[in-house]
Amino acid sequence: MHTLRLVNRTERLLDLLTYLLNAHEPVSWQEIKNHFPEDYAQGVEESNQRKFERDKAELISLGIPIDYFSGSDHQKEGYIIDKNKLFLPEIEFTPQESSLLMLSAGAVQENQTFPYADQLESALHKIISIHGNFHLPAPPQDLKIQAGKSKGPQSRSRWVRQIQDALERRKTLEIQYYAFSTGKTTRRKVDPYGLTFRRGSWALVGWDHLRKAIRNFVLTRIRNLKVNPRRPGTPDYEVPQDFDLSKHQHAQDWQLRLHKPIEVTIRLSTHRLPELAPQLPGARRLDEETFRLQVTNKDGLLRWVLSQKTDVVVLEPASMRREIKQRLGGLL
Amino acid sequence: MNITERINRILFIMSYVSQHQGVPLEELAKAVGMRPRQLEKELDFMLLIGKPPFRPDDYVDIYVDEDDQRVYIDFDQMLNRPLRFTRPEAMAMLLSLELLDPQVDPEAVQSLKDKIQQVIGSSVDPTARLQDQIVMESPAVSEHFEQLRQATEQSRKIEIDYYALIRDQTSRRVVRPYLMTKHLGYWYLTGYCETRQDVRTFKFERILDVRMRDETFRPPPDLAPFKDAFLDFGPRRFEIYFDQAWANWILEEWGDLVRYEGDGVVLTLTSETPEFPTRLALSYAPHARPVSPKELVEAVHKEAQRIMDLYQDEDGLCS
Repeated sequence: MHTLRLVNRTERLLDLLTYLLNAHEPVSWQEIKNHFPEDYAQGVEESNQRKFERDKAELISLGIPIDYFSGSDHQKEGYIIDKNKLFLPEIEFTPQESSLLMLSAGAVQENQTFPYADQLESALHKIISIHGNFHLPAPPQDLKIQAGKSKGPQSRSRWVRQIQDALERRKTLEIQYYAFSTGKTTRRKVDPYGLTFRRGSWALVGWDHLRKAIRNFVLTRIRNLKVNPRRPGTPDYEVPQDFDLSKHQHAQDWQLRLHKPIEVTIRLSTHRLPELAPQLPGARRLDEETFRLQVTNKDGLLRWVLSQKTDVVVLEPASMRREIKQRLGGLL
Repeated sequence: MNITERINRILFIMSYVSQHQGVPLEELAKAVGMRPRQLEKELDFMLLIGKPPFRPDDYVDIYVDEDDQRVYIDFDQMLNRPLRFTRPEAMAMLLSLELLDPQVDPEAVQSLKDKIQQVIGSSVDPTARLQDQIVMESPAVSEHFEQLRQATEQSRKIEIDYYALIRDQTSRRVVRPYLMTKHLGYWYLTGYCETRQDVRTFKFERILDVRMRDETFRPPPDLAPFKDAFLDFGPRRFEIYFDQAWANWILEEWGDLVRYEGDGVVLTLTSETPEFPTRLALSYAPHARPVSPKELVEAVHKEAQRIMDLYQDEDGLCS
């Protein structure tokens, strides 16, 4: 009777999964064809095989470990699911842990620019289905994490997910990038190495084919983006062994690498010390109020210094002191 | 919904019902984000899933009991437990945990992270390291974090020394801490300030000292209305002009609060005092110019002069 079954792909994949899952020994290609004649035994053998390979790849992408066993004295060859690796292990959370999990998950789900937001939902579903009930505790009422901007252009950076996909498959991107510093839009090829997130916005770190260097690209300044569509299953590049993404994340603007490092000495006023000193990562403390910084973005430092009014004073270099006077002179 | 998502959903339904026979249809529908009617149709579809040779008991048998409107499963064909995490799911879990500062609850956060790591380790190969692909900022955490967390949890009053940027002064206040919010990488405490007799928000890094009081207080029954309190900056409007050199950056940062004017842009900020707008205008000198009100223009000029006075000795050296 099964020759009359009309199947769609979802059903076929689930049947194939059920078949392999319940099989006591490896299943040969011939057996699969015998059991799924309309699906894999029509017309040309080669296209049947390709169809099966596509289906198998889809199942593997769902997390189903399908292996090919090449046969031994005791067992015949064929496809098999490793049941030890198939299922999620038991996991139990205390109410407190669940509530923290919901707090952090909420921060990701609330923000449309986050990569993996959909996958987070399916991961949580999996946890819920072994965890006992749907009513995982709500996040603690007196805590809230808001990761992204809810308003403004930052909330509309739509490229994160495409970049994440390219990162996973190591595919080259072609982007049109609007550089604020030049006011020009250029077309560039970039091999994505990673994404950084800071104060609600995303940046792409990658190898810029044009400049032949690792560059950062602010996502909201990307006007257009295309993932190389050719040979989707084959990586286009390798990320260098010594690449360290954390070095491309900076805590303060003056750490952005725009020029060679310059040494800057600053003095903080006493009453602001407890608040400002912790904001100087990597600084060397010369005495109670004096700090030496390595600055790779002079402009970023000057903006911070000026925003502190008279509470932060640049002591050295003299050229920077002159520049502060010039800048302020322009206001008066 | 693509085929992967649909299969995932079907497997979720299978495993959930297997573990919880008789789950109410409504409840299951809500959990998978479907209407009960839609879910019933999906359950009908699931009856077609089976294994060769497709005899009657080779099929999945899942159904809604007409009497009690609950969902039962008789034959699950071994699809009765959730599948291990895929790599993207593992990354998703790691990413969300990354947003959770350990200080929130050191023990619980650590054990939660350990458990998730363990599940991930058994799901995907251990090379699935999030930090290779995505780096989130690590916020500067206040040394007072634990005390503040404790006080909030136990509804205990605290006395804090707070540097208020908008007044440019430090003062001592008694606060009933209501809730803690992490916004764009910074932590804030929202609570009732007995000194100001109003609900106020305090940025962690400006809380210079914390002393716990023995007195407790009764927090408002619903904290939701206070969750955006830190976005309320005050009633007064201040305008700053930025020339072409910085217009794009200002637009990107402030979005809706910016309008074009000439070659540049005008940013309209709301605040209680001119303090923050003054600092912003100073930091973008000479490409920023205070526009209105007059009080802002005067404040910027006065402060610019005061800062320049600090650098006067340069002239002495040069001449």
